[in-house]
Amino acid sequence: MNLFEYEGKQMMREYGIPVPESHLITAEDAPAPMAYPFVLKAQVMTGGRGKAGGVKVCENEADYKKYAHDILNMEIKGHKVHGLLAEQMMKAEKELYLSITLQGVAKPTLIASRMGGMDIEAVSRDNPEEIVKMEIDPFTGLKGYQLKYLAKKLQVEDKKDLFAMVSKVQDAFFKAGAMLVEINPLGLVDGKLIAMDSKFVIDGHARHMQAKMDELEAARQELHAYETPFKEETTITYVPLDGDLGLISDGAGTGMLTLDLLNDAGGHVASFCELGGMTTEEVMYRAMDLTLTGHPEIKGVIVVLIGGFNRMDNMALGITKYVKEHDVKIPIYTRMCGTMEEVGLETMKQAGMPTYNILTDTVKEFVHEVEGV
Amino acid sequence: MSILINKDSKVLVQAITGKSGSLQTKVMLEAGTNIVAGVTPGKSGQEVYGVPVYDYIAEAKAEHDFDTVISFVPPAFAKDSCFEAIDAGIKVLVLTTEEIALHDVVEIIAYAKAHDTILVGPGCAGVIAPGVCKVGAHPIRFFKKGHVGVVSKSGALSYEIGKTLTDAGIGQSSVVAIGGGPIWGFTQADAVALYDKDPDTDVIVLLGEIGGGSEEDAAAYIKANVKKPVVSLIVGRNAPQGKSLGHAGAIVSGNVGTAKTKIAALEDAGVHVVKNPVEMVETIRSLMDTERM
Repeated sequence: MNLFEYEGKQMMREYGIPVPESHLITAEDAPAPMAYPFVLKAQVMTGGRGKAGGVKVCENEADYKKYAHDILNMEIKGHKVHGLLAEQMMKAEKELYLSITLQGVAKPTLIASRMGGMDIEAVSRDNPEEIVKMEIDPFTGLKGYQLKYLAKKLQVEDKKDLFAMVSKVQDAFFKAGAMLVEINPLGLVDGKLIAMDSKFVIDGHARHMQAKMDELEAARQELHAYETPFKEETTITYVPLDGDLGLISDGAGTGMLTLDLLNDAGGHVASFCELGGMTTEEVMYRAMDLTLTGHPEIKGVIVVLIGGFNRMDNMALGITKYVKEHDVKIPIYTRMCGTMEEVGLETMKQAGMPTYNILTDTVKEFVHEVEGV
Repeated sequence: MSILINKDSKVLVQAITGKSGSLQTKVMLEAGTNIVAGVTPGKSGQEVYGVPVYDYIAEAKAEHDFDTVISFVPPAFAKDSCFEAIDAGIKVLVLTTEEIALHDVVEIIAYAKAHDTILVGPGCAGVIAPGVCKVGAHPIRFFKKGHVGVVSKSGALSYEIGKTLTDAGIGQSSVVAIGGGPIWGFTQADAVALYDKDPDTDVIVLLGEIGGGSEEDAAAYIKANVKKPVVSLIVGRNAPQGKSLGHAGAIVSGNVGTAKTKIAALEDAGVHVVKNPVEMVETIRSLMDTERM
């Protein structure tokens, strides 16, 4: 779960990480929450808000009225703005970068740089010597020598303050089951470190955080009528694409292989649908429904099944039930093999639905019939 | 020989009385696997297809020798049960469970590594040594004994390629599916290293997919160490940006994790990169002695 900046900063406060005073504003006619000057920051689930005009300094009431109106009604890279964070002005003597991440790495990794306040990927590309990366042992946490090395590389004078900051960030990362805690910039203000921005991502599978995530979501709905994105109740992954052929598979790897084979054969795929760990008749039925109703111009569906954990008898029941109940007229090509295939193939035959065995041949015939290539 | 498991492997099943655990125990026994015991807390004294069940691994260990564990424990309890298995001093732990909290996975991997247990998974289909035994979900009908060693992230893709090779008359020494990520205990590079040393493996098949950098890591290992021919298929070439396609790890963000960079790294390492299963069969045929197929 990606947190908004205001949520991330609240989390940081809970873990004792120093952050500037700030207040969430959700209506443009709300009174100014603090004395001028302050900064207004768009709360939005994407980066680059500064460039897009989503961060403004308010010197007086006229500024505040104008910017609150402008930013609240703005879209940034297609993302709606969900409120404004009015925050105390900070003048940093130095801007650093600090994060602990589990995204794109094999172990919890601390990343830090003296060159904060800018795109860290650009720093990594153009000034790789300015990036400090260290792996964190989950059982010991950062060790003393790692902290000292970090202080040396960041050229921080007040080591005690840095160690306290890093320890609190580490604490937040591990206790909150985070995928990412990122502070950019980490400001040095009057000689003390303070988190001037926040990116906080909680692992959706962190069960001990479930109540917290539910609470955050409920607060979003109350504060700024946030519409929670639709959550599929099954283990299905459904990704809409822009072609006209539906694709269902019972494995991610075979789904991606079939996507490539369809493209190579000249087909255009409308949607990728993978069943995930749950493979009952009902889940197969749901996959058919998502695929056939999810795209208005769908011309045919290819179902690619190879049963290990899942059973072909259940798959066949789900497919045939859906086709019968919805009087499906477009071609449905089913490649079916694996656990309980004898029963599954018989069910398909009884329903008058063709089945195939060799994946590459199935794809070729399917694309040929449906797209005429 | 095969990798990770062989005819002498003695196996314990964690969560043996559950729906998956008991069904997979049945099919593993049918495949010739020597399952000596099972564990489910609170179910001690029961039997599952003739396999005795204990509450704790220590109790099973007092009665039986085993060196390999396969776990079907639900995600909330997976970490502690992995610690229990690793503390028993086993060689290989196959963790099939999906949706384990990532911080738990990090601890399981670190603990296994510190205690010299090979952790395959999480969220994996496991390993089969065709014609010998299996510790995982691979349906035996798709595989036959031979000399191609296969490693895949995806379970289904490893069945698909196993079936394709078997249909073409090409047997396999072992087939391993390591899970969809985003982090792994046993990696593709680890599998390649074992196959390179395995006298029964002539050709290595590396099945990869978009996302992360594990295929690039395997390519670097191959470039520096591997003499045997490696054939690779990378799936997800046509995947959209920023959407994960069924595996948490299978996501392209920016320039990271694209099929293009993986294919380039593998080709640079001298790997034969193919585009589909038909090319895979043709390439393997060109690289192998007919008698070893």
